[in-house]
Parts: sequence; structure tokens; C-alpha cells
Amino acid sequence: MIRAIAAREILAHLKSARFAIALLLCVAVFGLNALALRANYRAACQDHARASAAFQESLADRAPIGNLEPFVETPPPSLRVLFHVPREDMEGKLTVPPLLSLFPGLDYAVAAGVFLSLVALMFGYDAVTGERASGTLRLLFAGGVSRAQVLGGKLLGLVVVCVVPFLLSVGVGLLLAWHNGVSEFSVSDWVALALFVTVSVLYLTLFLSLSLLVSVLMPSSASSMLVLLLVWAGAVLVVPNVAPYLSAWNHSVESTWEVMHGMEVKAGELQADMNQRVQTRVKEHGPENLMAWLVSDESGIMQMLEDFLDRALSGLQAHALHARRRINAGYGLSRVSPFASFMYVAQELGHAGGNEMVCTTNQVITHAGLTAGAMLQVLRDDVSAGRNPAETRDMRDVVPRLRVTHLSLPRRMRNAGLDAGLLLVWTVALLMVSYLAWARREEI
Amino acid sequence: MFRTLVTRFLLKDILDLKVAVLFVFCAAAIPVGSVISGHEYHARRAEYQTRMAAGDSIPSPRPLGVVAQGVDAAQYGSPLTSYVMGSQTPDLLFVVKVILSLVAILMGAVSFAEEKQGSILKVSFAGPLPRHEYILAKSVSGLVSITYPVVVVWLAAALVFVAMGAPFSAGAWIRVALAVVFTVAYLAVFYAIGVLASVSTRTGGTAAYVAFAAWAVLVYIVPAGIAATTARHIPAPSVTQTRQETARLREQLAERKGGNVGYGSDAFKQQVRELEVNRLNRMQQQLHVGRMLLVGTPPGALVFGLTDIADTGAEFWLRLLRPYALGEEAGGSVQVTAVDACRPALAPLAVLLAWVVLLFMVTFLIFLRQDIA
Repeated sequence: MIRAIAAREILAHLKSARFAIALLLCVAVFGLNALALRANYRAACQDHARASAAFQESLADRAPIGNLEPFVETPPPSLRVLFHVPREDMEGKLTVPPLLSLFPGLDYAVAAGVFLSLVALMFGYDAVTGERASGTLRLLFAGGVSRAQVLGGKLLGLVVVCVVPFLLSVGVGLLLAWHNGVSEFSVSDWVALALFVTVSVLYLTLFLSLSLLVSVLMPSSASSMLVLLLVWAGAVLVVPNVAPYLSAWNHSVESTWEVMHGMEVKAGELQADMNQRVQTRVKEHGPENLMAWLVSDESGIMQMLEDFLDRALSGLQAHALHARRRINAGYGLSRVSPFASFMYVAQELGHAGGNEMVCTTNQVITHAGLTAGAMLQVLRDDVSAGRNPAETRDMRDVVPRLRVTHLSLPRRMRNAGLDAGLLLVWTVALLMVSYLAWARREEI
Repeated sequence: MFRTLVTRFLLKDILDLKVAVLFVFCAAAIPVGSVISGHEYHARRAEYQTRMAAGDSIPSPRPLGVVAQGVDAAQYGSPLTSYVMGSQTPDLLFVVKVILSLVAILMGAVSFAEEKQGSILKVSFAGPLPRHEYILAKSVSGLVSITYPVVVVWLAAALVFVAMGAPFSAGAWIRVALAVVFTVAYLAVFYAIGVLASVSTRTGGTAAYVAFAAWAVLVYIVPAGIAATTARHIPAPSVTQTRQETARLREQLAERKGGNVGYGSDAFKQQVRELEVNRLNRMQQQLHVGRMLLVGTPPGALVFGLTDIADTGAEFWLRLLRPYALGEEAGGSVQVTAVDACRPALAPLAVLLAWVVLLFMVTFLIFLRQDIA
């Protein structure tokens, strides 16, 4: 009987204007958006390739003194063609064009989170109220069909009807993005994408279950729609945007500017102290053997530099740790909404989550320490060999290469497991409540 | 007859569940957004003071950034918050653009469909009731119904800002008043789209469905699509590219002078400045073209209008942030008069009003020619 009800539901919807509108909406969101995402990804890859070549070129002929900014040599992961990092601009210095600041684009995670839930509500809001108003519900019950069978059949049919436009549009999007990025997908990327589609279907089922529950409880389709709209706006628009700010109050983190400025101030103090020592040395002993004195234990300057580096690296690591706690706190509060859980899973799978960012940041910090250590060693060697440290040379073998290891798929799946489980629990709970609520209600 | 109809519809709307829902949304969303925006403003202000004390004479954060944060956020703040789901600041611009527009369009969508389904329309027109008066009265009462909760809660939000210590001058109150007008005009556009869907379809369900789709396309797809297309056709060099170019110039200079060079030379500084000017010019071109295209859409008109009024939009970027990025003048607390800020917002407001008039005209024509019986 469940199959018969599901088949009836599918046939009724496939011929409706509702299905045509949902299909057009999904193709517009996922298909056309893929073009914009593809262009962004291509620009990011070209940018990275140019920067990589320039970095290697600069290393081929440079002195071991002076500032060397770390450069991530690993290109952006292929999955970033569909999922973008919420905000890569960490400097807050007009790095993002104002037009794109005012009108940010959508990636697949946001598109699925916002639009799939809307599509689900649009199909499900009158699933029971519509049948009740037309009188077909009484006919079904008179024929000996149980409420569980109607609920199961309706859900199955609606899931199939909603999944078709989603899968078609994701397919169209992948075809459009094929030439840039998608064609380079590894096996784990394809598995991650398949998992994203599966979780999206689960998320869709959750909102269909919610709409069935409301449809069971409400007397008319109009009131069902209003209640669902209220819940949807709260879950998708209000909670996820408010919760991170509430968490920020309890987990304040210095801004990037403040951290960098603090380091600059300390570096300035260090520089002044070093200058003072050098001047005193020159005054007392003249400029002879100044370089040898600089790297000797007697001057204490190398020790000061090493201490400074240690302090700077520990400061950056502490900053990254606080940031991670803040991100987790933000998600913790947001998990009241299934949208937040879905976004967490989607971004983790798409190499665009907070954990991925913190992991990359930690590797960059560690690498900065290694590079500074290597440069100091070259400086020491130069002085002991009587070579001028300001002389340029090929330093490609000296500076360690920063090849960032992205989180593996099993690790990302473990990170996302709790939230995927939450989505499942939400779905089952809503279905159970729908059944119990309906079982206690008279349908005469 | 017209006044009687308006009074009847108004009373029905005010006592209706739909308006109660709008009021609950306004009452919940606007104050919550106001408190968060106020907190964000204080954070930006604190950072501004620290930076000024450190010698970085950045333009001061705009007090009306609590209404529409705009590009103000690109200059300040702790961006790490944004890592959480790419969440947007729930400033009043976001609340009005996304949340209240959805409520307004749905209210419009169910306005006629309910009466069509209940055959109330057939009974109403069986008598000598002129159709144009009926639809006009219905539209006027609907617009009044969406206006009053918005105005009441906006005023409450403004009081929250004052209580939180945002420095509101007399000019700021003029801007707030214009922002309220913008909000009402924007919501009227979405209400009109809902009414159009309601008049053009047979059932309330179909009307709501069409309205939902129109809302999604207008609020999410069209603006992001236009902005992405503009950015694609007028690309601005990224910061990485500019830095690479600077490094290349430095190397060229080092080769010419044979090693140890002072990068403080005027020629070198000029070349580096030209690179930055080029990047900012491209961003400005992008902004001009994007604005011309986007201002024709209701969300685009709202975003440009409210950010212009709040000094956090394109004008703010051109007047204050661009010179600051080029190091042409000290930022500090540059004051922009209310008249100067509101002038560029008039064109977007006119666009919104034109949309309202156009949509209601189309709705009237469809309704007048429709076979109700």
C-alpha cells in the first residue's frame, strides 16, 4: 500500500506546475551558479600558479636576511570549484571588491541548505491538509489504509519528487564545471561529493518530515504554510546568523590586525634593543669583527631572535586555538537548527570548513618557524665562513617548501559524523511525532 | 464605498493571523539584529581607536553601520566569526532584504486566493461593487497592514541603538527616517509581487508557490548572478597579483642598482602606487557597472540605497576607503552630511516606487479583465 500511495503522489506531482517551478529553480541555482563558481576557481588557480612561479623565482636569488612571507605551494583543492571558503580575506584591507562584498555569491553548500529546504516545504505543506480539504483522506481511511501507511507513502513519494530536480540540476552543474576542476576530481573527491548528495537528500527528508508534521496538525493549507514559513525563517535565516555572534561574546578573539600589530610592536622593540647593543659594541671595540660578534653567544642577539620567534609562534598558535574554540562554540549554539548541522557537514566534506582552515593555519605557523630557523642557521654559517650575509644566492634548497596537507576524507567524515547523525535523529523524531500526533487526531 | 472597503479590509487584516506573524517577525528579528549590529559597531569602534593610537589613521566606522554594515566590515573586525557557515551579519539590511520580504510576498500571495477559493469574490461581485475600487481598497489596506508593524519596530530599534550608545546626530535621524521609507517601499514591491501571483493563479497553494519561487529568484539568484557576471567581465587584479607585481618591480630595481637598494625611492613608490591605483580603478569600474545593473532589481535598490544612507556603500568606499587605501589623506572621523549621503539613495528609491506602481498596474489590469464567475 505504501508503494501505491507513493506512486500516486509521484504521478500527481510530476505533472504539476509546482514540479516545473522547482525544477527551474534548482537548475537556476545549481546549474547557473556552477558557471560563477567555475570562474572563481579558475581565477584562484591561475593566481596560485603565478604566485608559485614568482615565489620560486624570488628564492633563486635572495639573501638570507629580511622578511620572507610563507607561501602555500599546494594549489586549492579541486572540491573548491563547488564549495568556497566563507571568507578567505583575513586582512580586512579592501582585498575583496566592494561589489562582491555587497552581493556575495552562493556555493553548493549554501544553495542546498537554503533552496532544498524551501523546495521540500513547498511540496509538503499541503500533503495532508490538501487531502483533508478535498475529502480523499476519508476515502483512504474508509478503505482500510492506516495512518502510518499514508504517512510513509506520502514521504516516500515526496522524497522521490524533490530528489529528481536536485539530482538533475547537480548533474547539469557538474557538466558545466567539468572543464575546470571537476575533471581533476580524485576518487575521494567523488566519494565526498556522493556523500554531500546523500546528506542533502537526508536534509530534504528532514524538511519534508517537518512539513508533514505541520500539515497533520494544521486545519488548512494556508495556516500550514504560515507556520512552516515561520519555522523555516527561524531555522535557516535567524538562528545560523545570530548564534555565531552570541558565541563571539563569550569567546572573544583578537582580530588578525591586532595580532599582527602586536608582533610588529615587539619586533620594533627587538630591533631597538639590537641597535642599542650594536652601537655600544662599536663604541667600545670599533667595527672590527662585528658580524662574528653578532652571531656569537657573547652578544646574545641570536638568542634574542630565537626567543622572539618562539614567542611569536606560540602567540600565533594560541590565536589559532582560540579561533578554533570560537568556531566550535558558534557551531555548538547553531546546532539547534538543522540548517547549521547541514552546513557543517557540507563544508567539511567540501574542504571548506572551519577545521580545514585551522588545520592549514597551523601548518603555515609551523612552517614559518622552520623557515626562520633555517634562515638563522644560514646566517650563522655565513659568519663562520666569512661570507657576507647580505649577498644573494639560490635559497630554494634552504627554505623548506610549504606543502599543506588537507584533511583526509575519513577525518572529514569523522568531523561531520555528529552533525549527520543529528540530521538523522531530527528526521526520525519528526516522523515519529507526526505519526503520534496523527494517531491521536480524529479524521471523520 | 472605497472608504468602507478599506476600513473593512484593514480591520480584517489587523486582526488576521498573517499580520500577527509579520509583527512577531519584526518584533523578534529587528531588535535581535539591532543588538548584534550595535555590538559589532562597538567592536569596530574599539579596533578603530587602537589603530588610530598605533598611527594607522583609518576612516572611522560609520555609526549607521548598525543599520547596514555594507563594506564597512571589509575594513574592521575579527573575520574569524565569518568562518562559521559564512554567516552574514544580521543587520537591519539583512533582516529587511531576506526575512521581511518573504513575509510580505506571502501575505500578498494569500490575499486574493483565499477569497477566490471561498467564493467570496463571486458573491461580492454579484452586487454593484466596482472591481477597481475593490482591488484598490484591498491593495491600500494590505500596504497599510505591512507598514505599521515595520514603522513601530523600526522606531524601537532606533531607541535600542541610542540606548547602546551609537552616536546618533540629528542628521542620523533624517537618515533613519529615509531608511524606514526604503523598507516600506521594498516590502511594498514584494507585497505587490505576491498580490500579482495571487490574482494570476487559481488557488492559494499555487500562488504561494509562485511567490516563493519569485522571492528566491529575486533575492538570491538575480543579484548574485549579476554581481558575479560583472566581476567576471570587469576583473580586478587580486591582492596577490599586485604583490607579485610589486616584488617584480623590486627585483628589477635591485638588478639595475646592483643589489642593496633603498625601496624608499620616489620612482619605486610611484610605480607601486600605480599598481594599487590600477587595482582600485578596476574595482571602481566593477562597482559602477554593477550598480547600474543591480539598481534595477528590488534587492539591489535596497542594498545600494540603505548602504548609501548609512555611509557604508559605494559612496563611502569612493569617498573614504579608496583615498585611505592610496594613503592620500588621513581617514579619521570624516563627517558626511545627511543630504550628501541621502542624495545618491534617491535613484534607488525611485526605482522601488516605480516597481510598486508597475506591479500594481499590471495586477489591476489582470484583475479587471479576469472572469471571476
